[in-house]
Amino acid sequence: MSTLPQVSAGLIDALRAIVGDVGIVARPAGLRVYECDAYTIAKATPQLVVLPASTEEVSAVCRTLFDAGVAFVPRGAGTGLSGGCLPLAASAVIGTSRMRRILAIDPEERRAEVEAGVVNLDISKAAAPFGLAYAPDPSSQMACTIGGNIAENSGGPHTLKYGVTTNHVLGIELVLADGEVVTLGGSIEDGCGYDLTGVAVGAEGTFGIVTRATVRLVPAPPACETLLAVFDDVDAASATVSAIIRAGIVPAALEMMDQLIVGAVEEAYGFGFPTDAGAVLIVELDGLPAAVAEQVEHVRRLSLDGGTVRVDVARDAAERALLWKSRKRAFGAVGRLAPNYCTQDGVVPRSQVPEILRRIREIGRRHDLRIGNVFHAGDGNIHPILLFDERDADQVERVLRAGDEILAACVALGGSITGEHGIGVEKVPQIGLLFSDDDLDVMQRIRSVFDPHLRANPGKIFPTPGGCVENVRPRRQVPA
Amino acid sequence: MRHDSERERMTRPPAAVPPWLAGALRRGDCCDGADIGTAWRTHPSSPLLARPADAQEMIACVKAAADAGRTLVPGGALRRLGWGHAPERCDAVVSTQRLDRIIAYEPADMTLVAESGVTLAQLGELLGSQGQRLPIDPPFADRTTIGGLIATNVFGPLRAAQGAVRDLLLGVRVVLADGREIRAGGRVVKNVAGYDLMKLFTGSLGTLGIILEANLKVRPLPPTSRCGVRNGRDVAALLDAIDHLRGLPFTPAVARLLIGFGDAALGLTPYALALKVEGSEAEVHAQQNWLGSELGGGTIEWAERDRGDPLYVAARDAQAWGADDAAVAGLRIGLPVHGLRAALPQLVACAEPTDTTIRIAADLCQGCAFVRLRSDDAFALRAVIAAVRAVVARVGGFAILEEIPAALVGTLDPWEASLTPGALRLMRGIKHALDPDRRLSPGRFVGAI
Repeated sequence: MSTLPQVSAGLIDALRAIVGDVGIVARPAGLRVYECDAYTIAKATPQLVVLPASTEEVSAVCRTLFDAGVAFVPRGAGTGLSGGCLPLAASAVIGTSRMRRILAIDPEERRAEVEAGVVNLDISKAAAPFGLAYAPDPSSQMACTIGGNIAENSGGPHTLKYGVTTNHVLGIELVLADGEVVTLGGSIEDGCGYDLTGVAVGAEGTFGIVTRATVRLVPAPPACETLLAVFDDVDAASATVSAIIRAGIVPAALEMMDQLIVGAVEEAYGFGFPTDAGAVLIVELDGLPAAVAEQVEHVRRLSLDGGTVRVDVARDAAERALLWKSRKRAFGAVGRLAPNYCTQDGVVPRSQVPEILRRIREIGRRHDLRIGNVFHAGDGNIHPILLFDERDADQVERVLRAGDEILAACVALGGSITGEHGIGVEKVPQIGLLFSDDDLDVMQRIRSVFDPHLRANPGKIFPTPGGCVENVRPRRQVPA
Repeated sequence: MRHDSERERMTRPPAAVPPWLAGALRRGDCCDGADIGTAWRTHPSSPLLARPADAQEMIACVKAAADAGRTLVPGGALRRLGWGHAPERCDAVVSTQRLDRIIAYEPADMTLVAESGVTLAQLGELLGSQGQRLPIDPPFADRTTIGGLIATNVFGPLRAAQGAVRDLLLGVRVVLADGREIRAGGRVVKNVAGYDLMKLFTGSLGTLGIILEANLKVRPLPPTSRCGVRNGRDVAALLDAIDHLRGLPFTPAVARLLIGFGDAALGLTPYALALKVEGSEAEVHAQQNWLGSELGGGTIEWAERDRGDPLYVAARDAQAWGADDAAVAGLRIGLPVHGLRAALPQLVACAEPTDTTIRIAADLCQGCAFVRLRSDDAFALRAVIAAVRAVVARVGGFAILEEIPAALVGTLDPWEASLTPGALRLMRGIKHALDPDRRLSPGRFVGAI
């Protein structure tokens, strides 16, 4: 791997003049905080972290870095799961943690204008008094930022009915690597020109750094019911998922957790899950009260037909909140099952969910690994959680191989290697399973329109010749 | 389901295949594009229309054009080929209409892969048989191909409740100007692998590539629906409906204000609000109750169940009124929802001084209005278009001239620039990245890209 440009004292001074002392992190202890995101298997300490407080500061910072030949990694809350924030091929990190203002909520137009560092859930909190919400709800929504959501085109459980980030972002302000500030899109849909906002969402920070976004707000549904259906085995649960979809029901959310995960979350949160269940389904239905009541009965019937042991409706808001907390914090609960875990992210067509779960079980058996499953069953977006102990190099090796096999199985079944978490560094080796050299060449030409010098988050998504990817697939122990 | 292609083949006189295309078209053919030319007054009136027989021939045509230094304008059913600027050059219009296979349809997955020449009407029949639909409803479903839908981003009254093609397009297979075939996206509903190039092709008017195949998400067909109309004395009488609709805890499938579309047989007066609600029986009933028996102070007349379709069709097709009339201008307006209240009466007033016919279809929950103008006096029409644009600009919206009257082609900018310099520069860059030699629809797009 080529060595990165050194960040000189002069450069730090120039940046300090823009953002002030409060906006510079240059001491080793402070920099260690930025050595990885939630993809903790790979770490790289940046030479410098800059925390601007406004678009103007971001622009000046970018211009200064550009002139010094220094690349950067844009970073929101660092909750990403594919190493998108890993400063592997860039010396500097530009963080948005000081850009957290909600600039405007327009209830009549159902729009919000927010800075990139605003926490996802805070948008919904600010919109709630108007009976509105921001729909995409990744499990990390209490921490993740809208800027990060835009980079990854984040999803979450409620995207089954409401769509993902790209369906809710109407315009962005983007600072390019040379400091130019561009305004793309706006608050009115179907405007003029190519949909640059649309292609920038999901570009994983490789076009520049988003500083502002105009997002859609949706009315909170008048009625909402959440069901928990318990099954003896995963096959029965996934067959019921298929039946619900085929019946023409579009739940607001349709999630599955298997026995391994249920055991962990029950211990952590004490909801009252039956820990001997093979699998549970969480089905949320929302809309007009009459429609919801009908759908609850329909889902109940389908679950019973599918062999459910028990199906309950959450009795009140508190119970519903605890149910969702259990699901959304499942990854955290898994910590009690093993010293380490690796969260995978893959997609298969809905009808292939039973088959991919079978293959995951077989892969787990063959590699002698415990794998739990908690995922968005309604749209085929799986999250196998591979448990291991990183002090055992052989286990680490088996985890990496099993992860590769799971992704290959997803592709073989007509799916994708990432539904939400992104390519980042994690899946650079697998992107060739989906795209040809021509496909990737064209994407990189598009990227070069925005970032011709490859200064914005280099080394992500696309394989680079003589690239650094090997370094993030450790064949040795990684210290905790 | 090749009836459209057959009809097309039979109605156009054949033309000799030029030498530069001869190698590419084995089973495909060329014919006289007589009526296509009328949309582009700056051109010789009869461009060649090439109809490759399949995707391989389409790719071969593109390569042949690249080798021969020729320019192509892609199209599907050619219904909207006049949108945008007239292209600077056009050696052949190349149509996808014979690329009309359904590649894969899995009702249990609610996804579909189809060639770009499949029409929305064909698709609707297939999906309907499985209790599903692609919930996008522009007029002329039998003359709108999937490729055309993507390239024009056309939509109908369902947009407010169901979204547009950008929300349903999961993946594409495209041939670029240099003949390379590329893919983006995939076949599954959650996918963030690689860039979302589908967004770039959406609305690109054939300037970035020729779509060969599209992967789409479909939705369940609602079990039932009801249509209704609230007639008013004048525009003001209906404007209160905007606030009422905004306060609903759901978005009706259709809430389209129709100005100038009186039809006694349908029970429509010249100022009418067409409504449609969809869902299960219970849901439809609940939505009707929410809308109330009175909307903005007037009664809603609900059609009997299963008898409302003509009303819906009239409301939908209103946005394309006079589409075949060379004296008609059609603008698609996007504006803040609160701007509709101020703008609608002013828009009606724009036409009065010159006695121009004006008809408006406005989707009250979307902030979208289609303004149709007719006059035999081109100067009057130009003045009214300018006045409409001024009204819209004052409320912070945009007005795209989709259908330009024959007499004014080449004299009006369809978009009248509402792009920032940075955005325009990036768009030029995108065009240059995908079509550096400007082989595909050059000059057709915003900023004459």
